[in-house]
Amino acid sequence: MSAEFERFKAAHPKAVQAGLGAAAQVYAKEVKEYLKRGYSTGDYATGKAAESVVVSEPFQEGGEWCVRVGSNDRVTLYWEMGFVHVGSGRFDRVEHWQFALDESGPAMQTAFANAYDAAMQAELG
Amino acid sequence: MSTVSTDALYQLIVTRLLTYTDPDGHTLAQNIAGRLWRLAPPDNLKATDYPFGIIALKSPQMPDGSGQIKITATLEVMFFGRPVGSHTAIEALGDRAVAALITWRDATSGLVWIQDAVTQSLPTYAAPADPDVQQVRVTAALSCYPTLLTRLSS
Repeated sequence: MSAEFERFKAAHPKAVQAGLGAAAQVYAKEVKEYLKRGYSTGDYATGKAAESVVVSEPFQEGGEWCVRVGSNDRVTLYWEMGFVHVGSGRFDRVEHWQFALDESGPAMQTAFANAYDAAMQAELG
Repeated sequence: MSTVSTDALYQLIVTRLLTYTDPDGHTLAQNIAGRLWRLAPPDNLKATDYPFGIIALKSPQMPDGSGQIKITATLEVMFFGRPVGSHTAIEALGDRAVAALITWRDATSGLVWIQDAVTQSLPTYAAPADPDVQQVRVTAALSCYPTLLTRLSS
């Protein structure tokens, strides 16, 4: 293999990680905006759910690079998956994470591409 | 039964889920009767409403290169049961739904098929959620060459 290819091969994983990190930040920002609105009327929104959004470092799983955006606040899981209120039997579901993902897809792709290109240029010149 | 509209497609999927007979001779309809609702159950659920399911088609897309005649979406079926001890029975509903979906190809009007169907038990919730309710989530990738359908709701 050529030296040029070897340089590309060495730079690629770091660039992918940079791209994933950038894309994850786009999604995290979008989902925080959704969560700030609260659920149902929004009257009880405290900002706690938005503040709970965390972004992992890029990691490898099954031979692929991944990044995880999530929350350790269980209430966000209840609302995203839907739940039955204790006592009243009322069902509620507000899918902020899903809608944020659907909406931010193109922006995430752009952020990934830009960060990937910048990292490759920085590495390869 | 057809793929002529979003409503028709939902009916097609619901019929498949409820009427599929697994190798042990069981159907979902035996357990949940017709309680497989679209998007949400009725208000003020009663004890007699359990177990039940909710079905939704999510993130509809027309993939690049399909000439805008193919639609893909994530199919989600969520099963709810109570009390806590019913978890095994609710998981069995998820297994049956997966079997019904992965063995399904429908070409009676348009073409519909399913891939990557999986079932997952959700953790037991705490207040304000009812901690007696058990949830199992089934997701699958739906592909469809519809007869006329150009969009999917939700």
